[in-house]
Amino acid sequence: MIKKIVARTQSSWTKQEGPYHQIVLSSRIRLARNLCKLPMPAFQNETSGFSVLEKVKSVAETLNRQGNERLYYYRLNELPALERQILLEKHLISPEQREDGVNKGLLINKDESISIMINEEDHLRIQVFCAGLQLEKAWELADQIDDALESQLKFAFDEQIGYLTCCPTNVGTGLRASVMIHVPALVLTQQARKVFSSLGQLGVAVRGLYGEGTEGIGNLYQISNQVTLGKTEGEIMQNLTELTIQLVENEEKARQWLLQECTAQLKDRAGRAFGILQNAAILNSQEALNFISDVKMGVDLGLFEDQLQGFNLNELLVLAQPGFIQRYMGKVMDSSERDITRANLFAQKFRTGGMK
Amino acid sequence: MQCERCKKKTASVHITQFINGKKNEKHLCEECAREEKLNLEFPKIPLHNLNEFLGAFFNQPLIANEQVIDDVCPNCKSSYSEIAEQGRMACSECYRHFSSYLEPALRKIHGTNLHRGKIPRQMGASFRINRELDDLKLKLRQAVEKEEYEKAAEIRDRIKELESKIDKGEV
Repeated sequence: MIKKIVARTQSSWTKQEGPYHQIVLSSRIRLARNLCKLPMPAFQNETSGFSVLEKVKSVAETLNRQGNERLYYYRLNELPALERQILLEKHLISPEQREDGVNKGLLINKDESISIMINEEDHLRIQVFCAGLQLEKAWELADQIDDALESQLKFAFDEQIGYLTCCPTNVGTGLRASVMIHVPALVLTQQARKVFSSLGQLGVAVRGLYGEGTEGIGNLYQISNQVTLGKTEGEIMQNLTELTIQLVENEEKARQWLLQECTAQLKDRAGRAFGILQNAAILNSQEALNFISDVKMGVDLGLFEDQLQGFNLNELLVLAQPGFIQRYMGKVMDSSERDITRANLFAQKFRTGGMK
Repeated sequence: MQCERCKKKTASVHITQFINGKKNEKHLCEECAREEKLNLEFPKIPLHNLNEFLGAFFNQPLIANEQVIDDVCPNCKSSYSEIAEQGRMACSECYRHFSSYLEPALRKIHGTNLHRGKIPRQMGASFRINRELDDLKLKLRQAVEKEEYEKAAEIRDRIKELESKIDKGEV
């Protein structure tokens, strides 16, 4: 299964479907769970780490036998570094989980909507992805998986403070709900900073798509709840959903304003980006993501010919990544070689279509 | 007054620092002051990583109570200082053992220390029973105080019944 996953640009979050999918690419639920009394990963030695890995693996096998959605088990140190890199690029594992470590594991399903990291910061990190703004739907699945795992494992739980996690910032529900958003118009109209800082005051964290320090690349952001204790899962998701809808409305307003007031500039921007993606001979990943963003907004606003309407631009976010390109071409490449290859691949993708 | 660093220009920046109660004066020209980065700003708080930042949440009781440093979790034998250093808990039982020190940290992070979300299904039954037990024990005490011994006996039997269930692992 892993060979298929690392060879395709599609993932459950690239689907371009679900509510508000033009602006909200995807929703993710992550639950942190630990096994009772066993040393947390930060305090594990090789033996205790291995026993957690084996325990979870055998539970997954039991669940598979019981006819649940099949989960494929991988020990990450047995996967080539490049494949781990691609899993990271597809958001299926965290940067921490990509690093070397003998007892890091992964359970993943066929369509990549479920990925469970073993021995990351917590013993288990259950992740569920849905396209568009569908936190509730993702939660339902995560909740079921949690129940299934819990039927075989004793999770660390305290009656007063809830699920016990390695880091006290996750204690309680252990829930981190997040959405991936594309807000080029908020950025262009210089509202993004203001909007994001007000979100901070409402208990919501804003980060770049690829973690700290990647803010703004491709106008993509990840927003998530900060507080995990004292609120129910429903309240946490409702809060984030409402704030996301407000963001979407602001982004849409800004887009309409741009379309009316700066039609020529907007067309120019989208058209130039398209032209570069079609014709560039050298293209680095950051540029690629920024141009994809310009084209994507143009497509959303109907500035392009219809051929581009059905075109999946989210998958290009995967195609632009260094790990994916190297795996795709079947060889290790330095960054200048990758930039040339990336330009070629994008030129092929954009061979058809154009501005209206 | 001459700048004490370049000994050329006139000193226009006068700095008085108190470090550990010791007074220290400096007279510099503007340029030298800038070069020496004798920042007229606030001192930067050294913050190397998130762990350290989180560790700071734990650190308070360490200062307040020296004994805490040697306190060890009965399950994993980690000391509170190890946990505070990492900003991470070593096992689930650390939460219980160090709960009194952790409580202020949790309040600081989350604004509360009471979980209201999901309860594990397995936990569900025993959780409810534990809640009932707490309630019954309170009622028992009240009944004894009021000298209602017949009622107290009934309550005591119910408590025993629940406790034996828990001991046998039925819930």
